[in-house]
Amino acid sequence: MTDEKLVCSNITKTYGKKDVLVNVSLELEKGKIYGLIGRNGAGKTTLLSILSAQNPASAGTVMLGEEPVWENRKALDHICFSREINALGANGQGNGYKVKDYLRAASIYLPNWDKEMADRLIKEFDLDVKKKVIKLSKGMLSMLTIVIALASKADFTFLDEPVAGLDVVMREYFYRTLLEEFTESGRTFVISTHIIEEASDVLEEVIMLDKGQIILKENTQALLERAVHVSGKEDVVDAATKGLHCMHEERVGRSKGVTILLREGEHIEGNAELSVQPVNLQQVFVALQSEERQAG
Amino acid sequence: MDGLIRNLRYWSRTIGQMVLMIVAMVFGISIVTELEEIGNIPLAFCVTMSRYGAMYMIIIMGILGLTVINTYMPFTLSMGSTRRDSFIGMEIMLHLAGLFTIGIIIGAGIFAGRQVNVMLFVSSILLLTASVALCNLVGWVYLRFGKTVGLTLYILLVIVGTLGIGMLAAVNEEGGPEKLGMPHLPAAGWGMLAVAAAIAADTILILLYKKEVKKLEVRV
Amino acid sequence: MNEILTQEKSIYLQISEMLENDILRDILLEEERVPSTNELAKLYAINPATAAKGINILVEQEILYKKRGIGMFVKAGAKSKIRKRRQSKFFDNYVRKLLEEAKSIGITKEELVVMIEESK
Repeated sequence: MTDEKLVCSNITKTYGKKDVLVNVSLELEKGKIYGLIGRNGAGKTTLLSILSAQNPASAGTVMLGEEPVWENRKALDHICFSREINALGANGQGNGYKVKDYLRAASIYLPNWDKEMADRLIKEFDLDVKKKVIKLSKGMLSMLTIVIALASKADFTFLDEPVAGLDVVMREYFYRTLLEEFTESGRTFVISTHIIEEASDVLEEVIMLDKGQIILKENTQALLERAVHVSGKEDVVDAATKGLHCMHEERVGRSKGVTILLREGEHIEGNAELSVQPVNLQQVFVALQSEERQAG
Repeated sequence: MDGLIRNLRYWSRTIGQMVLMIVAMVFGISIVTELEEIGNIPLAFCVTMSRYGAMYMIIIMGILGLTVINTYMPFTLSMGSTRRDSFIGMEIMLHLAGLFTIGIIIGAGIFAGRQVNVMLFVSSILLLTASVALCNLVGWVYLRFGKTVGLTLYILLVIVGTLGIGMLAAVNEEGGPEKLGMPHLPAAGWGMLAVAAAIAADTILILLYKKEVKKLEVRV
Repeated sequence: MNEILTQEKSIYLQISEMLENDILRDILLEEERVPSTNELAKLYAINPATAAKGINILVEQEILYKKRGIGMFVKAGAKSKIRKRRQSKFFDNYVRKLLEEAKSIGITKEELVVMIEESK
């Protein structure tokens, strides 16, 4: 088990004329669950691909401790990026691969593969190993991705939209299984997701990606403590929130509501005239997005 | 080394399946075409295999060239293999699979009563390097010039290959005995040249191919 | 221990409050072992680091203490400590709001006192 950090510095990725990632630098530590949050097209999958050396960056480096990750089996043995398996396409399914073929490949390529865990999860998920991957539903594809990610026992494990297609019961099961594995092994997980609110309790740190850039990287609880929604009569709100970082505001008649991110040392309290409410992670994200949109 | 071994284990099954496919295909065809004439299955198989095996092998290798680069390579990369390990593993297995198939062709020929001579050895090398070169060519073109060009080449190969088998079959209806179904080489000198060219082509393509694979991206 | 987490306040605060409630209700007795960070994480489906933060607050307030190699335990005198702390916070947490609300709807302090005295 490595103690090293996975660090990417100034990663830029360009496809043709489009900049998909711009100057992204990140430090991922051992033993944390990170959430990678962003809209479609923000660059999450690309970033995870580059961190796991599955795709080359146009500029910048990725290092695991002292070792570069690119084309380096020593480093790659500690990393597993279980990609979204796309039934249509480029990942080997077009030729009639079955679930068990995937599992066989995983057992060959992933040095810490835990077959017992894989078998147990397959049973829990009720996956038919003889089934061809192109015949699997979206939910079952997600389950297969999850099995491979968890049973890989990799020090740094990345999951891209792992709960896509899973119903709510299976999603809860996933979070619980993830936590169980995390508490036992202390592996680092990076989970990219859209379903922000559900995942927020499980994520220790959240990384927000927008248009290829990191707009925020912070401990989830700390972030939530400085996010508030202030509402009341418009002039009262304006007075109370003067100088504060306001991400998003709404007005109805004489009332105004603003979502605010408090900076260090800043403080705001509610009273009879002013409601100050906590905001959840999803709301923070949406508010930041609307701020970007307005600025943008 | 470890990474390479993983790839050999993985590719061996996938490519092994391809070889079996060639054999099965020939077997099927032999049943259909030669059985009437020859009357017993093993002999029919061997005759067909030794006559047309080479041709089929080249076509299948061409087809394999596309599958390998379109699905298998990205797949191994998504499992964390390095491009270098995957590529070398793939090339080794392709050559081994080629050798194995040629072995079957020669074995079949011997069983069917053909002669063994030096030209056999030479034409085997030619066949091996030419087919792997073809396989690599398809892959290289696919990566270097884009998917459309690659696919076009691939389709052309399938068409040419099928026509080729047809023609070969027609020719053989008349023809006398030929050297174990291997490409008939007019003279030792030209033969050597052809072999050298094929080996050179194979090597060059491997190098070019490797360059392209270095940049290979895994796309969903 | 089986309360549900809400969005009202930080999760780690809720964890520490829940443990305090359990101590007050004699669900957790003094010198008894308290669930570990991992157990709490699994129980509430939250990140262990968050659970740890909640427990650490209580350790700092000397409500819990750690026995090396075994786990977290309720310290002697925890119950009364919790009561005292909550008493001192009572005004801020409850009374202030009460006064504000009363003011905004026009109930006087005298009326409030009457309400309290007449309540059961």
